[in-house]
Amino acid sequence: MKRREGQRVWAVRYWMLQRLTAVVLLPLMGWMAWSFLTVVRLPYEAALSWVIGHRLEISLWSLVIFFHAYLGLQVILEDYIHQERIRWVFLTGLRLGGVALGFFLLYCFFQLGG
Amino acid sequence: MGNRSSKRPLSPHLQIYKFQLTSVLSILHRLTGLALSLGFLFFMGWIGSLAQGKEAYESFLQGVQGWVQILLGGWVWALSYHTCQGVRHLLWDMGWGYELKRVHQTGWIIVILSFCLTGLVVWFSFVKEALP
Repeated sequence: MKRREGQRVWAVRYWMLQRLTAVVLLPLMGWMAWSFLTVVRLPYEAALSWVIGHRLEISLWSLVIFFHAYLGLQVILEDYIHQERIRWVFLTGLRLGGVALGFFLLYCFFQLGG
Repeated sequence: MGNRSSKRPLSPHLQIYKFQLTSVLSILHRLTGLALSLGFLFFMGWIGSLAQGKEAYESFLQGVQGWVQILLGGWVWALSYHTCQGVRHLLWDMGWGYELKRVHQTGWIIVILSFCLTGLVVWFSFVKEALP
């Protein structure tokens, strides 16, 4: 019974967080699409100075995007993987992957000159 | 399915589901979300190659050259669509737009709007590139 209660609390929390991150990301969309399209094709020096100049934005937005994507992917996995053990493996993989990506981004910033 | 521990309702089985605007848009929301997650991984790869130095960065760009334009275009459409559908979802959450007529109306609106937004963003990014 306790577990069911926990699931219900999580479901509400999940619902709120998914909407909250969505609303936070909403005003960012235009800027992100536009800068992504232009920045990805830049030559090395220009790309480097863009990333270093936007470290704070990239970190903060990445965090929100990670979270929003994680919540969305979790729902898809929960809907289409019915066997609990396999589902657990995938969900744990997703979480570990998210944490790994966070460390990867930190490592990249460190490499780029802190 | 023998291992299923609970008798909770399942999501619609995509293979035996009759396609209609509402279901297609809902599935597209998930697919574009998935595509955007992959796009984000691509961005991480891009930053990673940048962190490795000039050579790695240039070989990364070389590697994706050719299909990167199409990929970015598709990514911008996925972003536009996911954003529009997301707003539609937020409106639903506030209790607006549940009438069947409204659902179809807003459905077509976001389809058209997503393509317009894509065109706008792609056009602007190319105009910017053309400027000195």
